[in-house]
Amino acid sequence: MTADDLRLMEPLLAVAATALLVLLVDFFQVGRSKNFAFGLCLLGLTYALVRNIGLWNSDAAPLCGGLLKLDRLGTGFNAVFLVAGLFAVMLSWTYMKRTGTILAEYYLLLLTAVMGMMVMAQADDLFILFIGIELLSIPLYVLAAFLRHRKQSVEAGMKYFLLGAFSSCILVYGIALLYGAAGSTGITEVVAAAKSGADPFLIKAGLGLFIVALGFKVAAVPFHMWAPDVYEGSPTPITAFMATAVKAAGFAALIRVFTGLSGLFGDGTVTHCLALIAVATMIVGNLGALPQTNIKRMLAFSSIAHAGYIMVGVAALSVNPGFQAAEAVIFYLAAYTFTNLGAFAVVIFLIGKKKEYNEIDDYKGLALRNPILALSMAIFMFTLTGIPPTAGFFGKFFLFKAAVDADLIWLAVAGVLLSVVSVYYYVRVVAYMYLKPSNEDAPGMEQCPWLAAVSLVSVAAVFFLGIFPQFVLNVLDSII
Amino acid sequence: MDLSGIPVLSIVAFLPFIGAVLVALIPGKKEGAIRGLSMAIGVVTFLISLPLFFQYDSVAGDMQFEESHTWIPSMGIAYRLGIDGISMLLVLLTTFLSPIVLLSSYGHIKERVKEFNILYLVMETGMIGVFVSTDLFLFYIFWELTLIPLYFIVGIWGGPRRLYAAIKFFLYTLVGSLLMLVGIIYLILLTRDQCGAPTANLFGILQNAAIPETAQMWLFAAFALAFAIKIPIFPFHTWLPDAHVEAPTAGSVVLAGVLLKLGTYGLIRFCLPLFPWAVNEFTPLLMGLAAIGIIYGAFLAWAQDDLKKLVAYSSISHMGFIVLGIFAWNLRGLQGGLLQSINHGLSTGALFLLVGMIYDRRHVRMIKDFGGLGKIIPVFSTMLIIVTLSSIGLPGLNGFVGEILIVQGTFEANWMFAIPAALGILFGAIYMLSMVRRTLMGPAENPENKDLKDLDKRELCCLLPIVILIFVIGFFPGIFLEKSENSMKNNVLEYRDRIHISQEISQE
Repeated sequence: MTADDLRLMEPLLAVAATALLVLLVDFFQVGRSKNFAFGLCLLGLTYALVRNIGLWNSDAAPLCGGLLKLDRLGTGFNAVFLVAGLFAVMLSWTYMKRTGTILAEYYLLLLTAVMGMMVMAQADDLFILFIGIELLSIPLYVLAAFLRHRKQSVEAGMKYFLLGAFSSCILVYGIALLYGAAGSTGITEVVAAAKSGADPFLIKAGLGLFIVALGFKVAAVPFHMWAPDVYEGSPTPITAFMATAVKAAGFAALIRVFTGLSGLFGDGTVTHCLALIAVATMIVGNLGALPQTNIKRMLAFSSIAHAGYIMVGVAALSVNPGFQAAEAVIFYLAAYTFTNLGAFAVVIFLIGKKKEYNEIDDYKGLALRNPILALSMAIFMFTLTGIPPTAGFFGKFFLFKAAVDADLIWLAVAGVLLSVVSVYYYVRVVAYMYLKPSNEDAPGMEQCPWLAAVSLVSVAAVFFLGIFPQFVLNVLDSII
Repeated sequence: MDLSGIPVLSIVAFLPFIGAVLVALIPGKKEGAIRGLSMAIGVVTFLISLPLFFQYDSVAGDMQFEESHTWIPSMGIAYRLGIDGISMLLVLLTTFLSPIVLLSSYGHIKERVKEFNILYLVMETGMIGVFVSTDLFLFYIFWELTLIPLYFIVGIWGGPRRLYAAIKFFLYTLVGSLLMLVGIIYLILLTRDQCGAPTANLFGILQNAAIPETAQMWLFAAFALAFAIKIPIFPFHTWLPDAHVEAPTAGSVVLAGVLLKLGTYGLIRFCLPLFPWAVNEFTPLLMGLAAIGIIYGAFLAWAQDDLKKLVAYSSISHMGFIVLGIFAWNLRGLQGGLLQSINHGLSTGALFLLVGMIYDRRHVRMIKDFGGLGKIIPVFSTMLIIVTLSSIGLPGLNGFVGEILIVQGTFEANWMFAIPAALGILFGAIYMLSMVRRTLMGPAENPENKDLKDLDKRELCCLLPIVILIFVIGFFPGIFLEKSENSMKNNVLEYRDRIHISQEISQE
């Protein structure tokens, strides 16, 4: 490890340092308010974000003897994770205040998870990837169960832990098979071995297990069973974090592996598997969301559906070498991250000191009680549906374009038809807010600058991506 | 007035949107100011669009007032605007009806006035945008932009079953339009090599690309489904009666007046020129569906007891005529279809206005509650009779010109389909006149109708411009037909000869 390595790892190290500082400072502040830790998190993450953007031009430098790779794909994903981390911290502060569970360890765990994701996006070695996933997952098991006096939260943590542990085993097994075929765990080496004709069965089996394990992380069907319960039971900011950043991290790992391997499997087995997963995920997600009455559960199923749309992009990626499909996936993830974090900010807005207003019923008449909040929620719902001119529309447009380009027209048509189903449950929220009168015990609204900041930035991002998509595409173009 | 150098189409399209933003800044309690500003924006937009009619060079008949700015170069998508004689007439229909709709909303939109005006103005931008875009993708964006405002207009200010009607409208339209989106993507990628680079420019694709047969078939299906749902063509029509009946008057007027025309415009502008081979194959099917729609809509209208439902079902019948004219695929049929699009916008729009006006007074719409209104409210009755006669195609009024052209065009194309068309006219006369007889004639038996007030000045202001235009088109249809004739030849019929080109490509 050289000094140059350290410079290039600065964002990662900044997050790690902040995490340790939070713990250290808390030692001297036992029993006091955790505002200091909160401020520290904001500062540390912002610093890491700024440094990360500063590293944009240091091209494809291998770090630590080829274990990590700092290319623009990694830097771009890191930016998404850091923004999501910042937003999650802001959401958490409000949420924890309102529910009265303030502990500095919470921030420590969150920062560690962000670190894990950054490692995943930069990993150039399958074992480093595994370490990143564990670094992400273990804090999340704890965070999911963080409201330990609540049965649901503990149940969420337990479920997430059990299934997550299984998926880790499967991942390691997959890595072992790939190692068996290639004689190395380096991603570059595995790709090279696959190209030079290493045992195709081992490679395919290894990749299959790899897809299964990451399928757990991104909640793709049939590995999605945990998602609705875990999303409903976890503290809301953690749900938001899991539904956006964790998903993005899973797809980052998939892209890392599949950009190199795309087009290699002439018989299309891998593509067919991915396409089937995509269709199943879209069907289960969209149909599952239809009958939900709890907004967190509805958003959980909706996030499954969105994992399905993104899988369409991954399937296209496995056919077409080049970066068009990867571009589409990254664009979608960026759009989806902003949208969902914004939507969860609105969900947290409604949470009161005594009761969490998580039923869709509680959104009745919100337009009259709090017009701005309702308007931003409506915008998030429409962009999740994919109505122009919003980010969600262009996200879907680029994904379906990638699918059509990869001769997967049927997949694009399936995606389109299933997103019509999604209209029903997204627009229902809008209908409740605008077209129905308030309930009698409607929650009173407390102002909160941090939540407002998250939702405003998200609305701005949704429209920016929806009106000037070329800007992001230009940035993504330079990732190649 | 010289319009060169001024981005007049952008101004016309986005002035309502700017108006919506301004309205949003006014506090909701100042309803007078909100309504005044929206009206002013509507009128100014109309006045700005008016020179388009006089300045458009109909001898050339090509795309004029063009604007182009790059937007998403990697997909060849650009902000491309332009109008020919076909779209120019429909833009004017939109800008002409908009102030009328806004004025009519004074009568029945009493709550959440601000939201209504914002939504309407945004929708006006969407509708004008659809007619002025020459980029497939931009067209799609504007097409979708009209969706959400109408969803809210039906959902907030609608009748008792408004939620059901609103979501049904939303889902139906979205299924069609999303499949069209896949079609647009496929079309851009398919013609990528022939055009040298991916482009969403309609005329770029038309000039450089020839599409193989199977691709034409699928693409035509994707596009035509979106338009067929919007128009609506039987059997995709079931959302329309619900939406019409539940929508507030303003919503019904704009739905019948402009939104349905987006579909017929799409057929003329995109389906016919882009996919001539597929159109040729599908023509018997679509003309058949149009004929069924004419007869079926007429029978359904005949059976209605509710005035608004009657007008709604008559709409299905009339839209069938327009589709029949378009797929006759000759100059007479197409010109008739376009003119009838405008006529239907005027006369059905006016019918919905009149039904709304009587509903505002009595809060019922059942035909049996009325009778003998002719003596009580003569001005209203005169208007209703004029509009009804226009709707059934009395010579001297606008409907006659459109219908005769369509029937002629259909006869030229395939005489078999002229029979249901002629029958449809007959049925139309029967149910419309029987509606007039049952509401206006006879003894005024219902005591609740005794004290009805006749139309006031505001309501006359809504109706008179439409009635005047009904007469103008009826007596001087040439002014309007002449504007679109060469465009129809150059931009639509020109591509009919390409039926064989695509055959050759497929054989190679």
